[in-house]
Amino acid sequence: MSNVIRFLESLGRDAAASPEAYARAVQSLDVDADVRDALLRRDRVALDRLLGARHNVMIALVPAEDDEPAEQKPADDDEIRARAGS
Amino acid sequence: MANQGSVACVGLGMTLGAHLSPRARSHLEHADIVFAAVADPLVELWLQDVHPDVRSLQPHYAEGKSRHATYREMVAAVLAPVREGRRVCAAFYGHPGVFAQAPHRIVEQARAEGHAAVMEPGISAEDCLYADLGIDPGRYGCAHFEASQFMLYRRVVDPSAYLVLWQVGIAGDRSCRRWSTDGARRQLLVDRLARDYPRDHEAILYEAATLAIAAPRMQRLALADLAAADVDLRTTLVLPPCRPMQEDAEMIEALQRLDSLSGAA
Repeated sequence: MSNVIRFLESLGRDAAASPEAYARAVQSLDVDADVRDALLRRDRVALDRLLGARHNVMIALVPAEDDEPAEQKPADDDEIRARAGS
Repeated sequence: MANQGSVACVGLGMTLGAHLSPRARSHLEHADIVFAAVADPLVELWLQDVHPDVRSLQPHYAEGKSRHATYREMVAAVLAPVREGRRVCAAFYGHPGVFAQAPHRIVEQARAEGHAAVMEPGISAEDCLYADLGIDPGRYGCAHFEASQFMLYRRVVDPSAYLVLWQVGIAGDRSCRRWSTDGARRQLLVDRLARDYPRDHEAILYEAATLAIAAPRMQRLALADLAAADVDLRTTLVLPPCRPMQEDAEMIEALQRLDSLSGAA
């Protein structure tokens, strides 16, 4: 697995790789035939599956609003006691 | 201070292999523990090759779970070993400080507690957008908003500048729990934008390439077609200017008076 990832990383560093050079490099990789096929087809969905990558990655890192609505906030101790007494 | 730890929030950039800065790599390699929030699952596998103790922040997400809770948990998870005196690196895709809440809170909280904390910039999706679409934000100006925030609050739009709306795949989500929203919510966004842009104005759906074997998505469509378009969390909406910039005659006149006084006509 890791040689495929290292290969993908090396591609990212190489601004000069031609499609022909890419195909030659893929052919020379020591990988299973289905991985080689996925690389040649540039099929990243297949690559994710073949390499056992995490499925359904969530990438949202910012909320629309800084604070969540009051009804969703975790209650602090004082608030919990106040509710219990009401 | 006993148990003084350190944390570096670093950006991995967008494309595997292409964008990692030397300083970010140094933080990764010297850390005791690496936490990771990546945009591409293969990048998570790459990180596991770089460091023996990589802890994904993905498990803190769950569909239906408030992302406010997710981000609180991320901060807590990263700070826990910092408080034990460990050297921690939290690696985020793109730039850790651009449209990302947890990294800023990690740095703020760590410093407040007396730990060393830094944020290392990274190449963001915004940077890739400018390069891929041939946009210079300095040419006409460029305003960026989170798509749902843009809908929820009254923002002043300058249609003579670029407008970029991020996280359009969850546009109109007030709950902060959805991983996608539907065409009906995007139609409301279209209707909001139609106050400032013609419905046939060309918009662009953009997604940065996260692997060198892929091309960025740069789909041009009419604004009116956004509701029916295929969008997800990776998608960003770009609206080029729809009218020329308008001169401010009063300001120009005032500047000309100053120029005359200084002899710089």
